[in-house]
Formats: sequence, structure tokens, C-alpha cells
Amino acid sequence: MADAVAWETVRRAAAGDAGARHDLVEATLDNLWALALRLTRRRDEADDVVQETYTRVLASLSSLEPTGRFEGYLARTATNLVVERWRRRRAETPLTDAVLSPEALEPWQAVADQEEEHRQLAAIWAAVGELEPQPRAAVLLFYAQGESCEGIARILDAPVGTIKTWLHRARHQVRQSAEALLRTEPALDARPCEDLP
Amino acid sequence: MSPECDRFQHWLDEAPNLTPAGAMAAHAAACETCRRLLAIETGLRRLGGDAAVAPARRAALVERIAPARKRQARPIVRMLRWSWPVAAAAAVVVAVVLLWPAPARHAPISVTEIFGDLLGPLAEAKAPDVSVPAPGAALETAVSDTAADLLGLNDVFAAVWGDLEGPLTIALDAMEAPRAAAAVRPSAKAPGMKSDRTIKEN
Repeated sequence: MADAVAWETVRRAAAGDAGARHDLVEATLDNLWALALRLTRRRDEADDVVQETYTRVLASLSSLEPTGRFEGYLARTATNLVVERWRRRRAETPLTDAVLSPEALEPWQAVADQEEEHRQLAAIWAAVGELEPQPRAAVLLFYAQGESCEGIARILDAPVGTIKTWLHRARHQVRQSAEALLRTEPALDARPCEDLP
Repeated sequence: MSPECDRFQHWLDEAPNLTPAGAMAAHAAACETCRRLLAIETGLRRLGGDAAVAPARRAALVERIAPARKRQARPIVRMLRWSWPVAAAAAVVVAVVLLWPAPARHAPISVTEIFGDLLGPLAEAKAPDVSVPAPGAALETAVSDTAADLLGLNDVFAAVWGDLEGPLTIALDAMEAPRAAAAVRPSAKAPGMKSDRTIKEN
């Protein structure tokens, strides 16, 4: 984890100091990109999210309250962007299309060596993809990004109790969906890899 | 199999950040529901993976998002490069203005004096004998410095014109010669004269 960005740097960047803006991006890019990748699971989409996040945050630096961590603003903006994208795409591309395909985990995910673990992990990914946008973000922030419930509450601007409820329901739903997907696995495996998105 | 068992689920809700171990792991080994949930939980905790951005991708992103130092440096260099000729030209102009000999300040003179100075020498040039200064009068009343300058200019002009007159006359004659020849040429063929075509054929 990189050191927290000093608000003094943020203040200078807000005043138009291009060097300070550069420093802000340099100091926060790695964590933000990792978050974007874990939420989107695609490198090119992570790039888009990161770029749009910085565009928004850097444009509103002067209105930021110097409380908490600057990285929190970035994480909140990026997560909201991804949630917006999920909402827009929800009717367009059912996530179950990618179920159990190698692309569901590759290329960035460290895939389990054993086939069984691979299939189970892919099923979990697919099941997470079927969650509602905000619970889905909560699950990914909790499990993939390692955020605490309090941190997720700040990022998603929701009470901690709500986050815990989302996680509880999400676990139940993921288990049911993943098991259902694993039961239908032979039919999916029958499809050639070229047909998978 | 104990489908109603939610012990592991409760354990997760109470302490979601802890790793399932110990007694819970022993229970999950015996309880099918909790074992499956434990497997899902283990899978969920592997969703993170290594998400480090590649250096090339990172550099490209930084360049797109905040290329502050590089892009700020370029206009400065370009500005300095372009400002050299401008600065040199400006220095030359300033130096010329500063080093140019300032004209001597004359006492203000009236318009009448100016015309008098201009017209006096002209009148003298036409009739130099008309105004003969008195023997005791000062010369300055007859011919001023300005008039002397004008006379000097007339002399220069006369000398230049004298040099140019000969060549100019020759040049004008050369220019007029073809026209004169064309004017002499008969417009109609004289009786017995061969046509141009006949001459060319011969």
C-alpha cells in the first residue's frame, strides 16, 4: 500500500500545479488500477475506469474536503463508475455468457492448477457477476480488494449494517448460483472455446 | 447432510474478516452445507489475485492522465527556441534607437522664414543679378544656409542628370528604333514587289 497522499499535494494540484497533479497520479495509480481490475476483471476496462476516475477527481479537486484519505475519494469515484457501468449493461450482456470459460478468470487471475478448483472459481466469478450492482461491488471490495465493512460503507456511501446485509445475502446467492452453474457444467463444456465470449 | 445448518453462515456474519479455522473447520468437515459454504468462501477469498499494473501500461496511463512535466516542458523549450530570433530582432531595434544620433535641436522658426528661405534662392537662380547686396550688407541676408543647401542639391542633380542624359538618350533611341522601322514599312504591297512568302521561299 502506497503512502497516503498529503492533502498539501492535493491543494497544490487544485491550484493548477501540474507537477502536483502528476505526483498525485503517480502515488495512487497502482492501487486504483488494481481496484478497477478486480471490479471489472478486464484490463482495458480497468484502464478506462482509471482514466475516467482521474478525470473526474482532478476536475473537482478544489471542492474536496481535506478529510480522510484522498485515496478514498478515488476508490469511491471508481467504484461508482463501475456500478454505473454494471447498471447500464445489465440488460445488454448477461454475465452468465462467460460462465466457466477460460476468459472468466484469465488472463490476470491466478488460476488454480487443479481443474476442479478452476471450475469452482469460475463459477463463483460468474455467480458474483449475477449479483445486483451494489452488493456485487461490496463483495468484490470485500473479497477481492480486502476492504473492511467500514471501508466499503464509506466507498459505497451506505451504512455498515447495510454492507453486512449485502454480504450475507450475497454469500447465500453466490453459493446457490455457483452450485447451480457447476451442475450445468457439462453442457457448457460441450461448447467449443471459440464460441465463448 | 444438514441442509438447515447455518452455523458457518453465522460465523461469517459475525467475524467476516477472520479466516475460518479451528472448530469451524472441523465442523465444516462434518457438515455438508457448511462445507460447501466454506468452499465458496475460500473461492471468494481468491478473487483478488495479483492485480499489478504492467510498467508499460502504467506509463501509458500516466502519460494520458497527467503528463504534466513533459508537456509543460515542451512549450517552454519551444517558446525559448522561438524567442531567440524575436529577442535578437528586438535588441537590434532597441540598439538602433538608442545609438542613432539625435538630431540637433534648432530654435523654432516661423513658416514665413521657411518660405522665405525656399523661395529666395529660386528667385536668385532665375535672376541672380536682381538682388545685389549692398556693399556693406551681410551676406546672410541675401543667401541663407538653406538656400545654399538647395543650390547644392541642384548642382548634384545637374551633375547626375548630365551623366545619365547620354545613356538615357541612347536607350530611348534604341527603344524607338523598331517602332520607327515599323512606321516606315509600307502597309500595302508596291507593284512588282514580292510578297513575304515569296521572299521566304526563295
